[in-house]
Amino acid sequence: MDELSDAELLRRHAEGDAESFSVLFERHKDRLWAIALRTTGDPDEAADALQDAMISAFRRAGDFRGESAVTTWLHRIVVNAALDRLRRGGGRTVNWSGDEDALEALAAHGGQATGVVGGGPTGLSPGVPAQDPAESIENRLDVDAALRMLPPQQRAALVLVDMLGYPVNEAAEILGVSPGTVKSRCARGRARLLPYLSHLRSKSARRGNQSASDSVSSGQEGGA
Amino acid sequence: MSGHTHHPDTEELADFQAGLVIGTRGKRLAAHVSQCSLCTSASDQIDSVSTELAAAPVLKIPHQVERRIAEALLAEAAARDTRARQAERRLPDGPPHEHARLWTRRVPVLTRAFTVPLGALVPAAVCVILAVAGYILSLPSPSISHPASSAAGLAGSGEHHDIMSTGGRRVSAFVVTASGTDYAAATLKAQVRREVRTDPSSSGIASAPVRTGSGAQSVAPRGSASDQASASASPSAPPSAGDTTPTGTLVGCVMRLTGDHEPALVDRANFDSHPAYVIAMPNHAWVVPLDCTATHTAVIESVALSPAA
Repeated sequence: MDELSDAELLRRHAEGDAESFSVLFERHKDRLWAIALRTTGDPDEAADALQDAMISAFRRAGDFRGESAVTTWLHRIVVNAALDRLRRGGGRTVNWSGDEDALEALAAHGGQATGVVGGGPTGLSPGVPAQDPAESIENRLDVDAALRMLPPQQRAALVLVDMLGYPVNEAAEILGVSPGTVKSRCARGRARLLPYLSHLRSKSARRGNQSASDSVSSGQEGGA
Repeated sequence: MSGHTHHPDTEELADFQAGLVIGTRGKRLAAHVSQCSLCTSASDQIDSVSTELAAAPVLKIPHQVERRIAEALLAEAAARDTRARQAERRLPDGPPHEHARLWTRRVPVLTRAFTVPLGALVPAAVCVILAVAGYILSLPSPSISHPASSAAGLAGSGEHHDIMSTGGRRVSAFVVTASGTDYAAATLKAQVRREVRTDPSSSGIASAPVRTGSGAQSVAPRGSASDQASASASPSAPPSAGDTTPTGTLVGCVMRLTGDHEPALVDRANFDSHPAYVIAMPNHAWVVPLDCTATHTAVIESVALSPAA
C-alpha cells in the first residue's frame, strides 16, 4: 500500500477500500498540520480545521478529477477549512490586528502564548545551518507569533508560497484567487513581517559569523 | 537621485519587488531603488523575510491530534458503510450472500428485527471499521495501558493494537444491548454473569430468549448521515439518551479493553444509577462511562469473573 501513488490511494478509497485514506493521511499528516496550524495560528482551531478537512476529503474523494496533484487538492481543502473556521468567528486566540503590543506580549509569554503544541522541531529545511534545538524552537515561536499578526488571507498565501514552496500559480489555485492576488498578499505580508523577523536575521548573521570564525580557528589549529 | 524623490514605504517596495508596480510609476521606482542604498538594503531585507519563513522548522502533528482525526475517520468510515448498507437494502431481492449469512448467525437479534437480508456490504462495513480502528490503535501511546493484557493473558501492556498486523488475533465484532439493568459494585459479578447468560448475542449462547425493548444493535452505526456527521465532528461525545447505536469511539473503547477480542457483553445500562457501558469478557468485566474511547477508557469498575462461578 505504501508504494502506491497518492492518486491511486484516493481512487481506491473512492471505490470503497478501507485502508487507502488512512495511508494517505499518514503520508501527508505533518504538512497538512503545518498548513492548518500556521493558517489558523491556533492549535485548537488547527485541530478542528484539519479534522473538518479530512472528513471533507474523505467524503469528496469521488469528486477528485486528477486535474491537480492530490496534495494540492488536500492542501486546498485544509486551507479552506482553516479560513472557514476563522471566518465563522470561531477563533479563540487568533490575533491579526497587527498590534505590536500584542506581539510583544506573545513573545514575552513564549510557548504558552503562542500555543505551540506537540512534538518538537523535527528538522530544518535543506541548506539551513544547523541550530541547537532550543534556538530552533525559539525561532519557530518567533515565526509563528509573527505570522499571527497577519490577516488570515495573507498568512495563508505566505504559508503556501514562502513556507511550503508552492509556485504562485499553484498557490493561487489552492486559494481560489488570481496569481496577482497571491503576489499582492505575499508582498504585503512580507512587508508587515519585516520588523518582526529582523532579530532572526541578526541571529542568522551571528551564526554565519560564528561559523566562519570557527572555520578560521580550526584552520589555524590544524596548521599549527 | 532619480525623479522618484521620496523613499517608497515598505509595502510599496514589497509590491514593487513582487512585480505589482508597473508603468511609469514602476520605472521611476526602479530607477530610484537602483541608486538608493537605503531602498536597496530594504529590498534585501524584504527578500530575507521569505528566507526566514522558508527556514522555519518543520512542524510535526501532535499525537493527540493525529489520534483524534483517526477516530473521526473511523466514525466516518462507519457512516459510509452504513449508507452503503442502507442503499443495498433498498435494492430488489438478490441472491443471499455468504458473508451476510455468516453475519446473521453472529447477530441473531438483528436478523429478527430486520427481515430484509443485510446484503453483501455488511462484512465490508466491519472490515472498514476494523481497519481504521487498527490504524488508530496502532498509533504510539505509551501512556495508555491495556487492561485486557492481564485479563486475557495477552502480551505486555505496551503492546500496540494494530489489527492489520495481529495475524491470528481475533478481531472484535459485537452487538450492543440495552438491558436497563442498574448495576452496582457489590453485585456486579452476578449481574454481569446473568446478563451474559441471557444475552442472545453473546458467544456460545444460541438459545437465549430475545430481549424486547431497546434490543441490540450492530457494530456499525445505523444513524443518518447527519447523525454521523455530528458524531464525526465530536467523536468523543456520548450517544444521546435512548440511543444505543454503537459509535466508532465505542468500538475503539471496547477493543482497547478486550485486546481486540470479541466481548461477551456490551450493555448500555446504569451503574450506581448513572448511565454507563458494561463490557464483559468471559473472565473479566469493566464499567466505563458513555464517553469511553480508545484513548480515554476511564474505567469506573473492573472485576474478574471466575469461569466456574
